[in-house]
Amino acid sequence: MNQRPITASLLLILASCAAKAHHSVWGVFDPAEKFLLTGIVTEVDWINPHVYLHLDVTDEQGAVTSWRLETVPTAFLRRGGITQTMLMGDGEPVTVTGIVARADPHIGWVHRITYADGHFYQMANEGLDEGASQPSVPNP
Amino acid sequence: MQGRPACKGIFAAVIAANLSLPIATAQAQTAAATVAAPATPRGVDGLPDLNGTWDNGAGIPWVRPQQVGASICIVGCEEIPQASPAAGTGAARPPMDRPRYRPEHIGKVQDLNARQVQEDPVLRCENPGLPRIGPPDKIVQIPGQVVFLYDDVNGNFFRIIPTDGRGHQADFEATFLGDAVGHWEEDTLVVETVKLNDRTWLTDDGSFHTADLRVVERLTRTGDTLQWQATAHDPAVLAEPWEMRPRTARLTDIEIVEAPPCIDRDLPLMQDGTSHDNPR
Repeated sequence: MNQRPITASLLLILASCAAKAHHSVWGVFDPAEKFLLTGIVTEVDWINPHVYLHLDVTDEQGAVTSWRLETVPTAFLRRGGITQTMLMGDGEPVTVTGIVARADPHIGWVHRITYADGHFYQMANEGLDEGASQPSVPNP
Repeated sequence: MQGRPACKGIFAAVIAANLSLPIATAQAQTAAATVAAPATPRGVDGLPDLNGTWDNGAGIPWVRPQQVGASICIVGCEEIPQASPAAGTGAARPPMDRPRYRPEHIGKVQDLNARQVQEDPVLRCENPGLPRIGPPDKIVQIPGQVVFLYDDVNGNFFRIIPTDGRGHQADFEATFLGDAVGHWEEDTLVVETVKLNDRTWLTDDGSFHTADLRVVERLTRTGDTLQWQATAHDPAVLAEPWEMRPRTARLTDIEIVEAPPCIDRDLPLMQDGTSHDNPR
């Protein structure tokens, strides 16, 4: 795969695609605030109930921003054959899509991480609210 | 994706431009489904052999891993670009399975539900208790005893269940998973558990229970599948016994492992106090 640099302006366009999403019961992440990042995975926290990737993103001015990107439990990844080492990759830039936390602009929930050779791991629906958005139903 | 059409197009175009993907299909699964189920293995005592590691999908139907080349999809696999337009947006989520409460307790359940982020013990990495923990992930069966092992996101847990006819322990002090005894009803293992502490919920919606909760589980193996069904009895608060929707687990060669630490980092980020959407 030819890795394309993701410009800050494109990221801004994507991030501004806020929609009147139906309510997500994910109180942490906003399914309307999407991100698309290219950076280097610096660390993987292989813990439950969620695994975290730490991603360093360098902008056009050379400034580095560290993101904390969250994903599914270890058991889900293991069922698919994904390990901590596989998530780390080989140090080459990766592209990550997902949605941003409501409380912190540099914390996100991963939709997909794509590595320099084109292979990817997908851990959420593209919409990131389907299948996880059913409001709690009060007991009758 | 819920974005406006223009934005949706931009997002999709960027993804498509950066990815060139082979597509997984369900053809192999369909073909496998037409093959006759294997016979149910039995032990020397003639009872069904429940030994094995059982994948119940964590009770989450939309977690369906697929591998295509070096790429792996865990969730939302039908949304891989270029997949069949009819593939939809992933497995539909069934309605939540909820217990019904006596009228005088409905207010408490609703109050706890509204404050789930502050109150739900599962969100704090505690043992989910019974029946919320679901089917066992591994069963070790020997004459007179079965052992249930759990590979839960909150940790590794176990239950030792006598099947030799003995009764409940008189001096057992309440725990998260209680005191269990089992017996066989034809080909079904029936496990009755009491002495469950009242620190757990039945589901993620504030469904509290008392320390008098009694849970009856029924496990039936058919070929390489295991059906698990549990019923919660707590007449002091429940309007009727809660018969949980049965869940099916499948024999797997993916062994359970030592659980990594459970460290929740989401709770400080919760903005609206709504459910963490834990589907159990």
